[in-house]
Amino acid sequence: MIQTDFRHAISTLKPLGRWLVNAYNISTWEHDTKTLPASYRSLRRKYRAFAREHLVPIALGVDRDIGHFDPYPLLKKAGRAGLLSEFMVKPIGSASFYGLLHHMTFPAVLKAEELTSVCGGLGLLILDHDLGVAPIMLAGDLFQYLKWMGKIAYANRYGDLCLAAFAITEPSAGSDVEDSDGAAKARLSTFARPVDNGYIINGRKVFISNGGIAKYITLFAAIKGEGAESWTCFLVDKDMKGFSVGRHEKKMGQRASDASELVLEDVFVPNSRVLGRVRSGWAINRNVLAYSRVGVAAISLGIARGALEMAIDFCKTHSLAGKRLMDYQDIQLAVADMMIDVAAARGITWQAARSFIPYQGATASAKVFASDTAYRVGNRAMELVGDYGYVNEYGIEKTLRDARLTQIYEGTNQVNRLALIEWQLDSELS
Amino acid sequence: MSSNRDGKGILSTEEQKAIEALASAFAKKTVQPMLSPAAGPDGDLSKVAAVLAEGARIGLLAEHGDGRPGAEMGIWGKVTLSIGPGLSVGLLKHISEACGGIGACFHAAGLGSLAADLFGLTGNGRLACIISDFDDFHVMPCLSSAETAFKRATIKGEWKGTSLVIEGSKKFQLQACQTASYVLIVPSRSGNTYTWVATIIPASDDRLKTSKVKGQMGMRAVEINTIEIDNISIDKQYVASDDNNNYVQLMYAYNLVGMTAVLTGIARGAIASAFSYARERYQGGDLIIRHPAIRLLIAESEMQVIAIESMLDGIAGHTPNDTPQGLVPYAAALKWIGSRGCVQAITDCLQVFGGYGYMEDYGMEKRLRDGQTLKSMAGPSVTHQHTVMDAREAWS
Ligand SMILES: Cc1cc2nc3c(=O)[nH]c(=O)nc-3n(C[C@H](O)[C@H](O)[C@H](O)COP(=O)(O)OP(=O)(O)OC[C@H]3O[C@@H](n4cnc5c(N)ncnc54)[C@H](O)[C@@H]3O)c2cc1C
Repeated sequence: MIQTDFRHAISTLKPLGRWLVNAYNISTWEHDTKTLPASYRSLRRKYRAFAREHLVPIALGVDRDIGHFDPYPLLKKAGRAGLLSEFMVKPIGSASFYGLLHHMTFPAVLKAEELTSVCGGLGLLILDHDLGVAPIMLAGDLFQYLKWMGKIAYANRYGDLCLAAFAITEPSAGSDVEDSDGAAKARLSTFARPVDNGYIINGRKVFISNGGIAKYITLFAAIKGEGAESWTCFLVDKDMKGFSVGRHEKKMGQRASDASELVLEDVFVPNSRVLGRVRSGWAINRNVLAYSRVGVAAISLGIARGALEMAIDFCKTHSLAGKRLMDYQDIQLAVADMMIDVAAARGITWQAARSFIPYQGATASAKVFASDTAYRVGNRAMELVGDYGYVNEYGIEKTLRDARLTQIYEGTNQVNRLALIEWQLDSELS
Repeated sequence: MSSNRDGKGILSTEEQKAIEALASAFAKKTVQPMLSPAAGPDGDLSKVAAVLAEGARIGLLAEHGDGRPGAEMGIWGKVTLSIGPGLSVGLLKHISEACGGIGACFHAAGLGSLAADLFGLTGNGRLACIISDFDDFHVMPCLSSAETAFKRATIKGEWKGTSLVIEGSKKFQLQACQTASYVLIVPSRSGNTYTWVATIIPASDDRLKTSKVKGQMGMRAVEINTIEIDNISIDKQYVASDDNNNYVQLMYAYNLVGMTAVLTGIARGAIASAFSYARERYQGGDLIIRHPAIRLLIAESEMQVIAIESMLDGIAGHTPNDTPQGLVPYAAALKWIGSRGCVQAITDCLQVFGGYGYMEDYGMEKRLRDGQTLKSMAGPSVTHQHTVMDAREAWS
């Protein structure tokens, strides 16, 4: 009999030939994990184990019944597992030394993919904290870094929770605070007035993820009478007088994480809570976005993978005319396309996260590509399973709703495309 | 009466326009108020029954029985048998611009009514049409041969003497609330003879069980049910047969056409909303409608919908008297291309709203959920691809 199975056929090769063939019978996930350095491999396994143990059992229920979801028990588990202190090294925090020395965002990218492959909303709930604290790290003040990051990381690992959120968006300035051209013309509405020993802030921020549950908000405001060039980053405490949380938005997906309005009425913020320099806020913001957009790429990648895995699971467990769906060529072709899409999104995301310091052009590209991929894969998954696709119990429609947000936040995909052009303009486009 | 666009002398262009204006006014005055975001992401669903009753009263929703005007000129009313689906398509689009779920209710009730008319069955009240599913991606051979259909059908009838005994189940059956009876179209066997047959079963029959699909992504105004039929026996006099398999093909095709019309209406609603939002929202120092990024998004949405509308126009005058063989693959192509194009248009229009589009208040997320749900209905996309290919092979 002719032996056509490739894995068996290689046994006929000579030893060197066998050694040069990669014929491991393992999943794509394992293949990809094998390409990583040892410390990332164990991180990836850790994140996956956490997601499977703590997110899988609640993901669908939370999405269905968000009104009764208490996020604190999950967040507490995430804090104890070291998922909310990864910008601070041990013993206080849980940052990967290897990561800090080699690629600032790679561990976060691994974490984002694993968590959101189970649930975009629960993933965002945990991941958004990193975005909230990013300005503390990127403001460039070592003293503030040690003080605030240490305090926050310690609380999350060993004490009561201490979450952070990131607030740039205003009612009349969404894309404008994500884009340099827009910022120059932005209709800002949140202003800080200098007073003795600090600032009085008035205004509103909207759509702030975890805004309703964060203790600290890294909040950007223009100096009274000036524009976005005067943006300054403040570390606002939710217990400050005059600070309140307004409406909680009702979202299409990623529901486990709230998107809230923040209202500031004569909130006094002392000078000690100005992160970095006064008027350096715009630079801090752009830098944060350069980091966080690769995070959104990874969130998208995770959601795409989740959709793929659910579709595969469906096709393995459902039959048509006595034959498993997965055994039909029609289905195999579609699944292959989805796997290729996910692999490509992982490629561009990991590539963007592999430079020690991520740069705007690469992360904007990764964000656009991966989020469009997530939406496309979600669509394909739905098409593949027909009517079952829109039934909540199978989870596939949820991945599509979750995916849709990734094309909007951290700058819409249109604005991110323009960010890529802006970044490469001088070097190769003019 | 003056002649319609096909010259069949049933309904003048003015009369068609008047009915369309009625549908448009109904969408604005009756459907739209139900959709207040305060009532929830899908509006006040407790009002659906009243909205449909009003639709029936003014003659847009087709129901059977004395003094119910919709059965003639309403959506999929009897007039369809003479003029084809054009009028129904137009009406469905108008209503679905406001709410796809309500549009789908009119579509489902209309198809039930039309099926009864087509087969000459007497129904009473609101009907829904059930065509058996098949345990196969290839529906074309099943629709064109009752024998093939019988072997693959999930609901079928077996003749026992002068009675037809029907048994089986159908998943994901679309129907309006308060459906009184089902027009069942199933393949049947009598010895070695196979025929497509139709009959009516009241929803109250205790051997017909209905269970609602829970947790549907969108289209929440319309019911999606699993129907289980446990050996219901019908006397021959209440069974009509479809010897050439033409009617089943027609009903199958019209279902896809109607769904695409609803999708097109949803997309039209999305474009209108995006257009007006883009003329109000400032970013980058200007109204966003002035930014090429937004203009391209809206233009592409418009292009998608224009292309789908031309396809719908192509099917508008197709009546049951014309040969239905080409109709099923055309309808499959329409559903496949139309679903993708409309959902693309809807999602692009949502993008025009930025973050606001993702929130329930602006109604765009509902449109996307509705569109995605409808896109997934009537089988996986590969079914439609095979329908086209199987037809191609049959013609060659
Ligand atoms: C669920 C959710 C969570 C969020 N979380 C946070 C958070 O934690 N913190 C935070 O600060 N923000 C957050 N955001 C805000 C998010 O980043 C903004 O929604 C996004 O940047 C778009 O802004 P916008 O919604 O105001 O849309 P707009 O800026 O009004 O955009 C509307 C449309 O116009 C286009 N457009 C705008 N300007 C231009 C231009 N100059 N050229 C071409 N096209 C243009 C956009 O691409 C879009 O299609 C969140 C948003 C959502 C929906």
